[in-house]
Amino acid sequence: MGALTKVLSVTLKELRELARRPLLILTMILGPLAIMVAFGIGSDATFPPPRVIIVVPPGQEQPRLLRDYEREFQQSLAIADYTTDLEHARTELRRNRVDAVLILPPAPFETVASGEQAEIEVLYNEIDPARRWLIPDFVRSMASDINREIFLQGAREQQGALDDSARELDLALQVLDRATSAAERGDREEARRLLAQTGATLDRLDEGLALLGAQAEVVRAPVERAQRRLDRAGERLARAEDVLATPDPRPPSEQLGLAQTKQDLERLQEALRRFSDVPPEVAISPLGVKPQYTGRLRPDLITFFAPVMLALLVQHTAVSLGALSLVRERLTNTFEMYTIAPISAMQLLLGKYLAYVFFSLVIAAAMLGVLLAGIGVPVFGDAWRVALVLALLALTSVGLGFALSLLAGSEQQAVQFAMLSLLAIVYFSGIALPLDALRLPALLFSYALPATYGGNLLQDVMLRGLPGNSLFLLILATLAAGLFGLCLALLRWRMRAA
Amino acid sequence: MDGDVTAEMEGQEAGERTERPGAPPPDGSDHALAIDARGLSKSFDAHVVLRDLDLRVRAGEIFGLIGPSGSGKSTAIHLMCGHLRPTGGEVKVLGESPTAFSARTRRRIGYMPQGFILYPDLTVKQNVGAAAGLYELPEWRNRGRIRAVLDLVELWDARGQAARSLSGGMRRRLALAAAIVHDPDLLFADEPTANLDPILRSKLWNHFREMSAAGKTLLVTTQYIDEVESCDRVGLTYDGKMIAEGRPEELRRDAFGGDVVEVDLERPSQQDIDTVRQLPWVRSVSTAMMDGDKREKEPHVSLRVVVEDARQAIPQLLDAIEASGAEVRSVGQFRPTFDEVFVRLIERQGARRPPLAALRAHGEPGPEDT
Repeated sequence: MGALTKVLSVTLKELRELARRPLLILTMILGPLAIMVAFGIGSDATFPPPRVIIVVPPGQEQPRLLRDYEREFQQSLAIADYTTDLEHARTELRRNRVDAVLILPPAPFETVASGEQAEIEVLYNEIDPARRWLIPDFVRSMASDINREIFLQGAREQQGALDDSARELDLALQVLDRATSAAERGDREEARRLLAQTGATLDRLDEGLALLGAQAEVVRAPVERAQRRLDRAGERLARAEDVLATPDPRPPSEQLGLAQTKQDLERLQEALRRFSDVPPEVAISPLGVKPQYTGRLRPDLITFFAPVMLALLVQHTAVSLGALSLVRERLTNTFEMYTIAPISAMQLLLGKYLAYVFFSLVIAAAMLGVLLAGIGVPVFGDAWRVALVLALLALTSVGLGFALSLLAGSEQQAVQFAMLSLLAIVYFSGIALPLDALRLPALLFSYALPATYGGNLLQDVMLRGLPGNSLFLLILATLAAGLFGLCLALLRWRMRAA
Repeated sequence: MDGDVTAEMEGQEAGERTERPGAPPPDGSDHALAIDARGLSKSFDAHVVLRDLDLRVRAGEIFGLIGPSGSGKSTAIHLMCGHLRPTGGEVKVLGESPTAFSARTRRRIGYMPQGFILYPDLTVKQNVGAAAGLYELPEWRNRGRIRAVLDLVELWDARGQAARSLSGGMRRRLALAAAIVHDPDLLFADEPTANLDPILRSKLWNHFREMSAAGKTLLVTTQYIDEVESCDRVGLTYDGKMIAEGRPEELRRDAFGGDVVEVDLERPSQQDIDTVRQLPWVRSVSTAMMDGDKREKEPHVSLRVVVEDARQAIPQLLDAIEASGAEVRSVGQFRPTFDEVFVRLIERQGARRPPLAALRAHGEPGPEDT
């Protein structure tokens, strides 16, 4: 009973002290919250297109590349100016008036036609590491759009050519039928003439396909297959003509193998039709992507980060208050009163833990209320699970605050520790960068922060409706217990006679 | 002349603490020791703050540790409270070593530290409630006790005021209330009257005397010499050492080698003075107000005569002077101030004379003690 009285007296004293400093508490909580909400509202997490100057080749005020693909240029870049003066463009870049200079090739279409790649040169001098990679990416994206458009046009033209080839093949089959009939009638001369005509048609088809294959990489493989079939058919026709030149008692169809040739050509015709029936968009991009969002909620930036912010603020509040609480008493003579009074380090620590965990949970509940009612953040999972995560987070954070407080040499140092812990959360708990973007040492540090577990668990429970990673809960509980033990040892050390 | 002598004789008792009911006898033989320190020393690295302190405080007495700032008073209290571990010697407080106090003993001790230590954001009543809670007296069940102690220190009317808004005097009284809310048997009060005005100092000492009258033991440190007279016994510390200890009047006698009788003579000759000096029970004679100019304008001399017992010596001294033919204007026991007493005691230890500011008779603020 006496022990409980002492613990509760310390708790009551701490809560009263907190209640009598409302301004400090408000600043501590509302400050970071307001900054984060302002950041969330003010940012859409996208980067604007880079501002560029396009340097066009001398004498080409409106080159064909720009004329034909103006939409693609406008979509990907913020074009500040067009110029033929490269030095002027470089100066503008150096003065940071633009993000990049694009130098168009003098004759891109002719270069491609000659079998070489035409290149757009990109000059940039961005010093921001986060944006530096964006500039070439924006230009690559634009070039990719233009390439796709070029492919699309080419595919349409090639499909037209394939249609012509299919018609030629139709004609060849008809002539072949007539040649077969003539052979069966015994009219060898007529059959030879018609076979020669078929062969000539097939030769024209072969040449057309060869041209098509040479022009378009995308159809090269099927065209080569078609050419092989044509070659086989041509060889058979040549053999048939030779046979017809020699008297033979067998039926002409068996001697000539024309049925087999016809079958080959029909397969070829089927293949050509199949290919020409494919829409050009599919032909140039055979594998598409069809993303489907299956989550219960498609959170915006604020909603996504709301649970992490909640974890951050609970940790920050608990660490700051804990850090200030003990250091102030340690550095004033209040600690002397504890060392002479019949209160043990365990009772003192329990009393303080009770007060600060309770207070942190009140703050957490208030902030959760703001997130749910004010911002509309949902809780899809179990509400008790949210409470459990917040309780463990508060317990661990208060322990961290007390530990810092017992290690700090002055109140200013305790404040510095608390601010450092806030910075650590911002950079390492998954707010600034996703955790999987961190290297191992940084990742280990991340997982030493209670807010990392708290944020992850709260996102799982609130936004995904999952129970949360049980291992994380266990680690958080272990951290809380470990920190309590550490604080107890430090407090006993601080309370011992010097 | 008899009238003057009588008046001076009465005056000598006026400033001294009168015996209280329950106050310990001078030898204290039948009282248990509340504090028993033997050879107590404390150093911080090479810096010796306290050396070989021998101190016995009997239960029920007010013991005053007096000395200039930095003389080791607060260190002694910290050692007795268990805040510090001695580097030499040992100390028992209520029969236990302070670094290993049992919870039972802790409940019997009150501690009023030098600085204001309570919680500035809490109200007066909440502060005392918080202190009571540490001694297993839940605030919610001891409202009467809290009120009584706040009444005692005259802070009940300020109970709703935040501690940070209190004046220096009120803070000291609040600290006292927090230190005694659990009715301790032994109170350590480290410079309780520092920076207080004389009226508040007087009030605090009244509280201490009331506690002492109720059988409580108090160990009080102070820089104010005039507070010595409120103590049953006094220890004088200087440069980390206890250089004198005893009842206030004993210290006076100790400093001057006996009682001092002041005799005012009308135009004495050197022979008259020598006559006094040669009396067998006279230990020493000094003259006062003897500079040349004064002698001409006020042709009389004050002799300070040190004797074993002033009450017995005064009639014999009068007879001897009258027999020599000198004229006595007045005679009486001279009570040197404790400033003079302490300066003498310190000088007798071979220490250099302490600066006047180091020992203070009045309430000017001074630097914090170590």
